[in-house]
Formats: sequence, C-alpha cells, structure tokens
Amino acid sequence: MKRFLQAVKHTPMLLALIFIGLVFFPIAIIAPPESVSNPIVTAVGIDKVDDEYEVTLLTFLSYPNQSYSESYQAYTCTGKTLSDALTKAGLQIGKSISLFHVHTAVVSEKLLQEDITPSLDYLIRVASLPQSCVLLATNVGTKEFIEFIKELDSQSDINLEELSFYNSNYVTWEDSTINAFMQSYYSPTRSIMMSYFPIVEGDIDGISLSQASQSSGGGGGGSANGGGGGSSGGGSSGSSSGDSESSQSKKELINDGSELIVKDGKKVDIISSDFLRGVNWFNSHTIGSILTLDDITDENFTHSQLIFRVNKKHIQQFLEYENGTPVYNASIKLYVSLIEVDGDKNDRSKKFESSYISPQIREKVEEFVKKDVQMVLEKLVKDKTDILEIYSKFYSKKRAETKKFVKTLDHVDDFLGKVAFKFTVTVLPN
Amino acid sequence: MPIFDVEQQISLISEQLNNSSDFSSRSFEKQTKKVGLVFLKSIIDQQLFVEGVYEPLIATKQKLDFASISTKILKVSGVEEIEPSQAIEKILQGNVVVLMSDSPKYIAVDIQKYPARTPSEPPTSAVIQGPREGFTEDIKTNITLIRRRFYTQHLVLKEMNVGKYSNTKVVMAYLKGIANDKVVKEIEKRLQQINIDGIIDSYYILKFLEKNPQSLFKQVGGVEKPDIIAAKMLEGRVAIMVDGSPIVLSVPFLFLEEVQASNDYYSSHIYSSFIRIVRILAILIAVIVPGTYVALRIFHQNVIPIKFLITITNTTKGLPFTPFLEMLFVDLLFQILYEVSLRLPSYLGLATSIVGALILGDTGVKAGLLSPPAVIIIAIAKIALYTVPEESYQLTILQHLFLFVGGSLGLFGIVGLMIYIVVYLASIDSYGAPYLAPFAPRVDSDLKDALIKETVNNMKTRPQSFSNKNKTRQK
Amino acid sequence: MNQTLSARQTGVIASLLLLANKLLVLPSLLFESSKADGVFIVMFLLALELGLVALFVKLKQTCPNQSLYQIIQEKMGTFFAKLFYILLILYFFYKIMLIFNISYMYFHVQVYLDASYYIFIFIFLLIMNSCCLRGLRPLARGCEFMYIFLIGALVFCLFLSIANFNKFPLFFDSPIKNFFTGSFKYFFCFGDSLVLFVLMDRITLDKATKKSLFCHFAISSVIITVLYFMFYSAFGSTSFMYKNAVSDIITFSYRFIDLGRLDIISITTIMFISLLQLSLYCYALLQCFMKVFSRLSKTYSVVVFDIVFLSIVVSSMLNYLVAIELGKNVMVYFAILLQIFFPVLLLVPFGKRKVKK
Repeated sequence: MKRFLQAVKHTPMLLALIFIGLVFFPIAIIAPPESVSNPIVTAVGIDKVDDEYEVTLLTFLSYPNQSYSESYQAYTCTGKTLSDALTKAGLQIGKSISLFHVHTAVVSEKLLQEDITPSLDYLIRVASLPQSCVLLATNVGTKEFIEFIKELDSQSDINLEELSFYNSNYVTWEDSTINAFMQSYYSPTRSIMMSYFPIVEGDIDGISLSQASQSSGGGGGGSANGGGGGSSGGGSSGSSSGDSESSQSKKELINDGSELIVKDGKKVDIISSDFLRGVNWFNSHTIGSILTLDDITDENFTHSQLIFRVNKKHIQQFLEYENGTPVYNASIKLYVSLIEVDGDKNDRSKKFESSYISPQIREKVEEFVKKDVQMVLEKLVKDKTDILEIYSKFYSKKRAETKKFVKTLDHVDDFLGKVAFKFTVTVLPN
Repeated sequence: MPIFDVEQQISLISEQLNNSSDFSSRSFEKQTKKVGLVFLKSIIDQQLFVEGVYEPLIATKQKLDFASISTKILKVSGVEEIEPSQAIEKILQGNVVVLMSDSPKYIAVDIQKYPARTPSEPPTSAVIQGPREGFTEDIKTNITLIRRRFYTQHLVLKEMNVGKYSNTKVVMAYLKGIANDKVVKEIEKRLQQINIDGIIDSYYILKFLEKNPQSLFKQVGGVEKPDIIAAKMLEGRVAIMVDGSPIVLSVPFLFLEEVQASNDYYSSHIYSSFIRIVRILAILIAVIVPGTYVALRIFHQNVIPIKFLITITNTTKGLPFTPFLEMLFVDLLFQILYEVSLRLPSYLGLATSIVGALILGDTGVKAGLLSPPAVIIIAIAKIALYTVPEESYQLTILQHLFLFVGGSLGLFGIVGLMIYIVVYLASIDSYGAPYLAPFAPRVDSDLKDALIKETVNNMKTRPQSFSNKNKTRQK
Repeated sequence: MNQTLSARQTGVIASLLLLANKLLVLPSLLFESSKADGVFIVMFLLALELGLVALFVKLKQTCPNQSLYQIIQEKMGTFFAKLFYILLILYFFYKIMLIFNISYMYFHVQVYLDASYYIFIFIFLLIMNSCCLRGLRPLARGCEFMYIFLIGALVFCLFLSIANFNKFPLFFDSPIKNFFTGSFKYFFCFGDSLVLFVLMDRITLDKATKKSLFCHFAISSVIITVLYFMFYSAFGSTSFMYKNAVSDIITFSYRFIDLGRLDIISITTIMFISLLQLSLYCYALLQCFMKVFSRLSKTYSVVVFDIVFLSIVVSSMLNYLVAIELGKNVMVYFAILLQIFFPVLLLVPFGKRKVKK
C-alpha cells in the first residue's frame, strides 16, 4: 500500500488509469457491436395512409456468411406522427432507429399533397437522416416502392442511388437531394424539380422484375404491422404480400426523365422529358442533348429528319432592366454534330458526314429552342413556379432594381411572368 | 634471494579463487628462481599460452626480470607489472600472472580469449547495400569495429568496470571536440554511480542511463551495427559498450531515431524519404488500427463504409465474442504464436507458423470463433509493427492501450490518448535533447534528416536538436 | 530550466486558440443573425482579435520581463490585479464550458449516438488535467507537433468542400444594423488571444516571435474565413440548419464514393483541436487561479477546477444553447471589458509606479 501511494504521488495519472481500468474496462469487455442496437437502414419511405404516417425502412439483414452478400428487409410502421411511427418501427425490430446510412428517401405523391418539409426536418434533426441523401417521389405507396427496389436490388445491378446519380449528372443537371429540396424551400421562389420514379402496371419501357419475384415481392418483405394496438389505423400495413400475390400484372419502374415540380414543399405538377429539355436550355450542360429537326430541306437534304447531338453549349445571360421591366437576354451557342439522318437514300449516303450547317438548319434550331423555352415559360408562369431561379438571378445581379420592381407586384411569385425573355441561338458545327 | 614461496602463493591464489576447476598453474625453476604461472584455463588462449608464454620462459637464457620478460622473452604484447593485490582481478580478466620468487611484484600477460562470434550482420538491422558488420558480444571486437572507422586521435575510449560480482567492462566512446563535455560527464557520473551486483547485458546499463526508467519509451538508443554508431558519434552522441552485449548504447536519443534505419543512408534520398514516411504510417497503423476498428464497431458504426459494414456484420454474426474480446482473442493467438516461433528451433518454428496461419486464417474463421475482418486487422497491425523491429515491444504495449481505450471510450478516447502520449513524449528530455525534436520544438536544420531526407552533401551541419560542439560538418 | 516558449510555439498556440468555437456552430448562428454577411462579421471580429494581438505585442514591448499580474499590480495595485484575474478566471471557465458543450454536441450528433455524457467529461478532464500538470512547455511542444497535421486536415476539408460549392453567397442582403448587432452578440466567441496575456512572462518577444505570431494568426484567419465562405456558398438560405460547419461542408463529397463518411477527417481534427484548446484554456485558468489563491498548489488547483467543472456540468446539464445564450447576454460584457478596456488601460502610462522600459 505504501509503495502504491508512493507511486501515485509520483505519477498522479496512475489514479486515472486505475479508474479507467475499473470503470471502463468492463464496459469494453461487454459492449456489443453497435449493429446490435442500431439497424443499418439504407432507404426510407414516408407516406400517409388513412391520415397516419407510414414509414418504411429498407434495412440490411445480416446472416452468418463469410463472403460479401447483401440482403435487405423492408419494415413498415404507421403512427399518428412520424416520431410515433419511428418509435414503433424501433420496437418492431428491437433497435433504435438511426438513418445515418440512408442514401435514398422516398415520398409518395399522396404525401406531397401537403408540405413535406416538417417531416423531413424531423428526420434530419432527430433520426440523423443525411442531408446528402437522394430525395425522390413516386406515384405508388412508398411501402410498395421500397419493396420493389429491394427486389430490384437483389435481382440486378441497377440501384436507385445510381439511377438518381445518372439523372442528376446527365439528365436534369440538378441535385435531387434533401439539401437541395430544403434550399429551394427556403429560397424566395420556393420551387424545385424533384426526381420522380413512378411504378406502373403493364408492359412499358421500364425496369421490371422477374414474374416470380413479382408474385412474391411483398411476401419477402416481412412487413411489420405498426398498428398492433388495435387502433383504427392499424392493420393497414403489412398486407402488401397478399396484394402482390393476387396481382398478376407486371409492374415496372419508369425512369424516363420525368420530374416533379414542387413548391412550398407540395407537389405542383409532373413534367415530361420534353419539358425537361426545355428547362435545360437555361443551363450550359450538354451531355446527351439531342435536337430533332423535322422536314429539313436545303442544299444537302430534302424533307429529311435530322438528329443532332449537342456536343457543347455556351450560354451567356444578360439580366437587365429596360424601362423598369426585367429582361432576360440569353445568347446560346450550340456546337452540334449530325448523328442521324432520316431522309431519302441520296441524302443519307452523300450528306451524312457534312459539317456544314445551312441557314435553314440554323433557323430550324432556333425555332426548336424557342419553342421549347416558350413551352417551359408558359407553364412556369402559369404555375408560378420559378424552378429556373430567374428571380434569384435578377436579385443577385440587379438587386436595387429588382427590389423596386417587386414592390410593384402583388407577390414575388409574379416576377417570372413579368420578365421578357430574349434568346439568340447560334449553331456551329462541332 | 627468494622473497616468498611461489608454491604457497599459488595455493593462496587458488584458495582465493575457491579452487575453481578451471584454475591452473605451472611452476618451474629457472636461474635459481622459482617461477610460477597462474591462470584460468577457460578464458585464455591456450595455444598462445604455450607458444608465447610458457615455452619462451622455459627456453630462455636471458635474465628473468620484468624488463627482459616484457620486451625480449614473451611473444605477446599485453604485458604489465602488477601489485600482488591485483593478481585475482587480472586472472579473472584472462591474464596469465607470472610470479617469481625474487620479485615482490607480479607480471600479468593478457592472453584472454573467449568463444566469440564473428561480426556478422545482425538480423534486425539488415541492409540491402552497405556494411554488413554487426557488433558481437566481445567488447574488444566491438572496440576494434569502432576504432577502424575513426583513424583519429579524437576518438576517446573510457573504460570502467561495473558490477560488484560481474566486474563487467563498460567502455564509453565519443569524439572529442564533437560530443558535448557536459553530456559525457553526466554519463560518466551515472555509470560510476551504478552499484549493482552484475551487468549481464547493456540493457542493465540502459536503465541506469535513462532519466525516467519507469517510462514505456526508451530514452537511450540501442545499436547493433558499427556503421550506425559511428554515424551517431559523428553527430555528437556518446556510445556505451558493455562487454558481453552486442547492443551498443547511444545517448542522447530522440524519437526520430526510431524511424531512421541504416539502409536510409546507403540508398537514394528520395527512396529513403518515402520509406521513412511509410515507417511512420506503419507505426500509426500498428498502434491505432485494432483500437480504431473496435471503437468503430462499438461506438461509431455509422462511420464505417456501408460495404465494409455489411461484410463485418455478416462475418461477425454468430461469434461468441464481443468486438473487444474477439480482438483480444485474435491478438492473444498471435502473441502465443509469436512467442512459440521465437523460442522454437527454426524448423519447428516454420511448422508452427504454418499451423498458426491455418488456425488464424481459415480454421478459426470456419469454426465460428473469429471473423475475417478481425484476423486481417490484427495481421495488418502486427506486420506493420515489425517495420521498426527495435521498437516492437513498446509499440505492442501501445497497441494494447489503444485497443483498450478504443473499446471503452471510442474514437474520442483514442484521440485523447494520442494527445496524452504526444504531450508526454514532448516532456521527455534526453540529456538536454527534447525527445520530439526536430519536430517539437521544430529545428529547421535537422529536418533535413527527419522525415524528408536530404542528400549527404546538403547536410552541412551537425544536429542542432541536442547539444554538441563544432556544428559544422562540411563546408 | 528555461521554460519560455519558442517563437513558433507562441504562434501555434495563438493559431489553435483562434480556431476555438468558430468552426462548428458559429457560422450557422451568424447566418441567423445577418445571413451571408456572417463572413464579414467574422472578418471584422478577426480584425478586432488581431488588434488584441497587437495590444499584446505592444504591452510585451513595454514590459518585456513582467507578467500580466505584475503589470497590473504595479499600475493599479494588488486588489485590481486580483479582481482582473478573477474576471479572467470566470471568462476562461465560461470559454471552457462553451468549447466543451459545443464539441460534445458535435461529437454526439456525428459519431457518438448512444454514448454517455460522462465519457466526454471523463476524457476532457483527464486530458486537460494531465496536460496542465505536465506544464506549459510539453503542452506547447505537443501543440507544435500536431499543428501541421491539424491545419493540413482542415485545409483538406476545405479542399473537399469545393465539391459542395453551389453558388456565390448572396452578400449584403441583410440590413447593416444586423452586422453590428451580430458582431456585438457574438463578440464573446472571440478574444482567445487573452490567453497570451496570461502567458506573457513565458514568451520572449523578438522579431521571430512577432513574425510567427502574425503568420500563424493569418493561417487560422484564412481558414476561418474560407470556411465561412464555403459554408454559405454550399448551403445558401439553409445555412441556419447546419450546426457543424466543418463537417457539413464536405457532406456531399462522399456521396457516391464507397469510402464511407469522409467527414471523419474533420471530426477527428476537431477532437484534437478542442482537446488542445481546452488544455490551453485550462492551463491559463489555473495560472490565474494560482495567482489569486497563491497558497494553492498546482495539483490542488486542478482538483478545485475539476470539482467546480463537474458540479456545474452535471448539476445543470448545461448545453451549448444555454452556453451561447449566456454568452450573448452576459459574457459579451465580460469580453468587451477584458478584450478591449483592460488591455488599452494597461498601455496608458499611469499608475503607482512608472513601468521601466
């Protein structure tokens, strides 16, 4: 004891080390891995069923295995509030829910009838949902959707995160993440495009599951019934297996470039890929942009349909106020190459390699672009959804004039309708 | 005129040496004198004794006195006249002591010979290119190895005997005009103050030289090769050789020396810089990886990449251990195998390694006792540990400390322990040299031979991190 | 034994302290106060901090061999010296609580979901105590050793945040009044260079020290300013939602990489930085404590500090929001008094005895 006291006097930190040994060493010995208490959730779906929140969690299911294998299970729970639903989900699987590993959050069109921001805000703050996770909408219930992507994941290499990545980098040129959603929500115009992946029945151009798995798709989910308490809302979940078995029709996931326009956290409309092409004339990204010109007749072609690929696009935007009115002046330079000719035999054989852009083609392209833009603007003005952030652009470039101009309007949402758009299109061979 | 009885003296000496079985004596009469030779036959060169001492003495016709014996008769060099009281000490040091009945003084002839290794390349300091000599257990050989690197009168060797019973020869070597006198005096003082029964190895001395011997971190360097110690002496360090030990100590010692290897000085400076960074990374991996793995599994699952997390979760499902215990178990298996392979003869060691590899790598996993990630984590950590084999002992302790802290406090505990260790290391002072120099305090000129190594022609000054004289190395 | 700090160590300490409280929640708070103009607030407050460092240099030049306590004692007497040191104790203690609570919130949200509060208290106290007891020099050397890695990690985080760059922050979108109210309200988050005043007898002011002090100050200032800029550019109008700026700015960098969360770099860096900052603050606090209660030894002072710290933390469960509110409403006056009023007062030549140059 005397020796010990001397040692402590010499090295006071010895006491601390002994303390660690006594208190924390047993903790280390008995501490289980965190995976015992926290599930690995990779996707979350939020929906509303009978005025109750329905949360579906795509959870990794581990089983003893020495090689890499992924197996998931979908759990669904309902509750009067989101926290209620999540608590029930935690109870069902015996773990506390944290959404750190979630890479996809899905909301249903139905839920988007009302503002979804409070729900997302709750998940971010309380359940650690990463703001970088992809946010998308679907036409069906999120439970069904998550069951579908679970099967899709097990059957093929296609996964939703990669589809979304492709869309945001090659199709829409916009991130569809929770952060992007939130940013738009708190922006003056409060509008955004959101990824939309409908699941439809029938033989359409989409991603389908094999028939065998379709018939058992819901059954494999092991859906947990959140309404165990016997409330009126209970029992609505966990019945997807029965539905799926009875349904013989083929279901397909569609990724055709359609998007959802959301304003104030609510759905406004669904836009098609043609509309999206129009939206893309406002940005300088090009990969994969296609121009289809019908009925071209010039020195090279006769009544041909020409398909051009836009290889490069330069946009110069000039934001001005002319006589107190905002004018959006854009000069677009397109570097295109002809990739397809649908005309008579002579045209195809002789002129396919032509790099000459005739005045007729220029005219048609300009007409094409302007038509697209007109279509987009008409709709956006009508819906008062400034997803192009025209107001923000004016505000940051011409703040004083914009502030003054907005004062003359009833609401900032009317701004887009008052802007005069002027486009100059120059087409150059690539 | 006889002064004493030689036979009586021989038996007296024999008694003083407790009639040791290796005590031997010869006596004969020559020129009316009785001549006696006493020695320990186990530690002398017997051939040299016969040819260089015994036969010349019997055959000589010259007058037998110290002058003629030392210069004309004996065919060996180490001859000195001693007092009778020194006889025992000299005999124990491998001398033949010559007694003559008419002389009050004895003559000691040094023909000591031990079974000694040749200066072969030490296994833990092997070089691809560069000198392959290593120190041996014989201090004379070691002195020779140093001496042949400095043909200068500035090389100072100070000898002293330490140990009440072992009477071990300890030699301090340094370059006068380069080594700091204060440091030399301090070391000398510390060596002289040692009051111990015996010194078996230089490690015994090391603990007396350290200012904080309780510390986990060594504050005195241990070198196995003469080229390294020569380089250190050129920097102003002091070498301490201990008879019977192939490890030569060097003082002052800095943390940086742990990542320097002799090979660095015999290869491209770019490669040396790269390999030093690798060594530092290896030390970090060795020390913190097992603890971090356990911390991530117990506290921070959300930080693990999802693909790896899936593998971990699958492979650890059904194991009978918690993450910490699993890691301890794999570690224990490794330590057992390590000890076994160290002690067994090489042919058996190989067999044990194969069994160990099979048990750890395959069977243990299949038996559901271990998970592949835990095995690979320990394997990586243990392999990394031996990038600096001299430090493997303290790194092993640190590895376990971090494992324990990681398991009980998580990543924050690991960071806390790292800060604690760094601040602790920063407080260590090795004979006036800050242990973490040249990094903390930063000594710009010494950074040329730190992590990023400069070429020899660019290192114009001696290290400034510790005190030495004559800072200029080259002009 | 010469225990003064080297020029580089002085700079490193100033630089590390400058990063305290500014990398996590403050960008969000400043956004709430005056939108993206928070960048200008932080630049303005950094300029004031630079002024404080300049005052330190001036004071050190005026009284090169005296401690702060001696200077006040000579100018105003022992009573005022003790009073000033008591104020410093309170201020440093508050700073410790603030750093502790903000760091705790950050680690808890990011990596310690289920960990107990006591684990943090334990680690903080253990490291603070051991560093303090070991003395200033090992602590300063430790900071110096780790500094390059910590700054490197922060710069790497800023580099990663480029992937997050959205658009140029919308500056001057908030009334000028907000700029001043924001600067006033969050003035308490600055003033970390006061620690240098307490350690002034351990610093030798020469040309190299001055250079090092201002260079390291510039490094931290640039990092802070760039961080705020990147933060506001990445999150725009939602900046108020993100309370852990240094992690949040790299959130999107690892979305499609299978490397897991790269923000572990920033988390680990903040762990190191906060522990070192707390140790430095704790050391400064103990120095003040030992001046006021000169009979207490270092070890007993540490024990007293631990007891007070534990009783406040455990009994009131002080969280970072409460700490910030306390700062905005009370500590800001302390800050003005200690950071502006007193240093200027010390430079004014008056007093009981003229200070010899």
